[in-house]
Amino acid sequence: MGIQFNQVSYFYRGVKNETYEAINQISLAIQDGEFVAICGQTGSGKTTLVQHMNALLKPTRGTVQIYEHTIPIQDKKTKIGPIRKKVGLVFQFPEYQLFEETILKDIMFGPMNFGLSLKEAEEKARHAAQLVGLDEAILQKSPFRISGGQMRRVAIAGILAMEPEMLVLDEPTRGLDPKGSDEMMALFNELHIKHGKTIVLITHDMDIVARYAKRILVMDKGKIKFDGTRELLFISDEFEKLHLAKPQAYRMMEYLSKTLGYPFKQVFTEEELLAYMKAVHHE
Amino acid sequence: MTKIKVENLKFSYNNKDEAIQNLSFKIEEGSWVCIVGHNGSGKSTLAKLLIGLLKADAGSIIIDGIEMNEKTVQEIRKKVGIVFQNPDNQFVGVTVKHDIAFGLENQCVPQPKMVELVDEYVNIVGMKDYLNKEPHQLSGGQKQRVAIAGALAMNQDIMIFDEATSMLDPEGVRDITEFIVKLNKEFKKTIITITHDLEFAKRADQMIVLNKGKVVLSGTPDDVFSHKDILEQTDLNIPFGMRVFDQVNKDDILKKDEALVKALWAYSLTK
Repeated sequence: MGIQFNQVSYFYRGVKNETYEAINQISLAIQDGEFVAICGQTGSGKTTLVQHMNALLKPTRGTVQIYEHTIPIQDKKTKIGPIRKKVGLVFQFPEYQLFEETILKDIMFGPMNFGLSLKEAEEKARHAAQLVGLDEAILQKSPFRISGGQMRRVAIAGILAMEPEMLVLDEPTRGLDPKGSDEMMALFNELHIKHGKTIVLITHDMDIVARYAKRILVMDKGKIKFDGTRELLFISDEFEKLHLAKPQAYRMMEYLSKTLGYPFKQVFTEEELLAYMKAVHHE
Repeated sequence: MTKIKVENLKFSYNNKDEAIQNLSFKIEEGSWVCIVGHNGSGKSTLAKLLIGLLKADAGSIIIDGIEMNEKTVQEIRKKVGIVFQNPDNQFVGVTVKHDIAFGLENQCVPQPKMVELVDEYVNIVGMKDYLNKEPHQLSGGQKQRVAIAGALAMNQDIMIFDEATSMLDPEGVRDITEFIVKLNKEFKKTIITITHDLEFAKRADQMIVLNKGKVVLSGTPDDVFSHKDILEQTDLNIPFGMRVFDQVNKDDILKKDEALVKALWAYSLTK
């Protein structure tokens, strides 16, 4: 099932009523079970693209198929709520949206809104809190009395409590320190591998992209300029034009190959780089 | 000449845990000092103390020979500019030109002079074509550039960048980093950058490493990185090149490859 974009364009209206085309005739399919990273410069249309994935934005032209529903909705009977429940969208800095008195209440807000009873909502919230690694003991605390990284977990738990099939995250590691960022990515990887969630995330961090994503989309000026695996991205003829960095391990491999004549092999992580160096030497 | 002298500084938010514990250091005029520490190490608290947004419980901060207190804080703020982490939180004007002029208005600069200064500084930060743009039409990096122009227009000698690049995309990071270098080298500003990014900190003249409100290491980047054991205890990420260098040195076969070890060492020192 998943999500399908058919020739989708979206226009924003500016202050003087002029229009900006944020995404331009995008066709794209994301299947259940994928782990997709979306990269591209600021202003390339990444956020606009993902906000179509749970019908937060409706296409100006074209259609988006979200599981069994088509956006824009043609009939009067279909409600948008159930569609948003299928795809959980986590904004940039989601911790800014926390508002309840306790962490538990904040996580329960979503499920309550979808009409669950207090008891059911609490059950789902506790489960979601556990998934994101929040300790049971802090659930009665105020969400404003915990660290930024923990706050972000609370916000993500709030989305997970609605039990979406797909989790769409707009720069989930932005502003976190390296440790917080690693922990956050380990969480998404676990949700993907252990709990079968489809993950779509926007990031600028090519080390994250190379380590976790099975599929990479690169956007530029409202269009998808690359769609494929990491193995193909960095050797693509277009790579220079995409304004992306290469992963650190990859760059070091290039350096070793240039200075020491190491036979070049694509490596994407520190572990892969070391394993390769060992393989070359232990031969 | 010593530009900033901090002595036995203490601060706590709730009278319980000390965010800053008996901190002392000196910063030379025209130097670039990087204060590093993980989240919660006290580095942003220190920045707020340095511009007088927070008041120390004990100890002293002396800037240009003036000791910070309620009477001198306004005078000191004329010398110290700060660019914060979140570009959206410091954009106060309706447009770029209003934002840069904000500080000048507060200093009662005459209007014709203000226009002149805004023009001059908007050119320096490369935002000339954006004078009439509103904040939502700018990227994060562009907003940070406007903040820098605003600080430049105030003609402050000391510029503090508190995680000023952590919310920017890679291009924005490069851009602002180049400006920091320019401010230091061409405009002879004393620069304090606050970050958890050790890769970035390598570029400064001096580093001060904070952990739990205390200085655990200080010196040139070369000095600091020669104490990797201490750095590792601070929860900071050792730069990639150095991590690989260490791993290679732990491997009995790899470490015998002198060319490899040498190449990795050179790589880990590149800035």
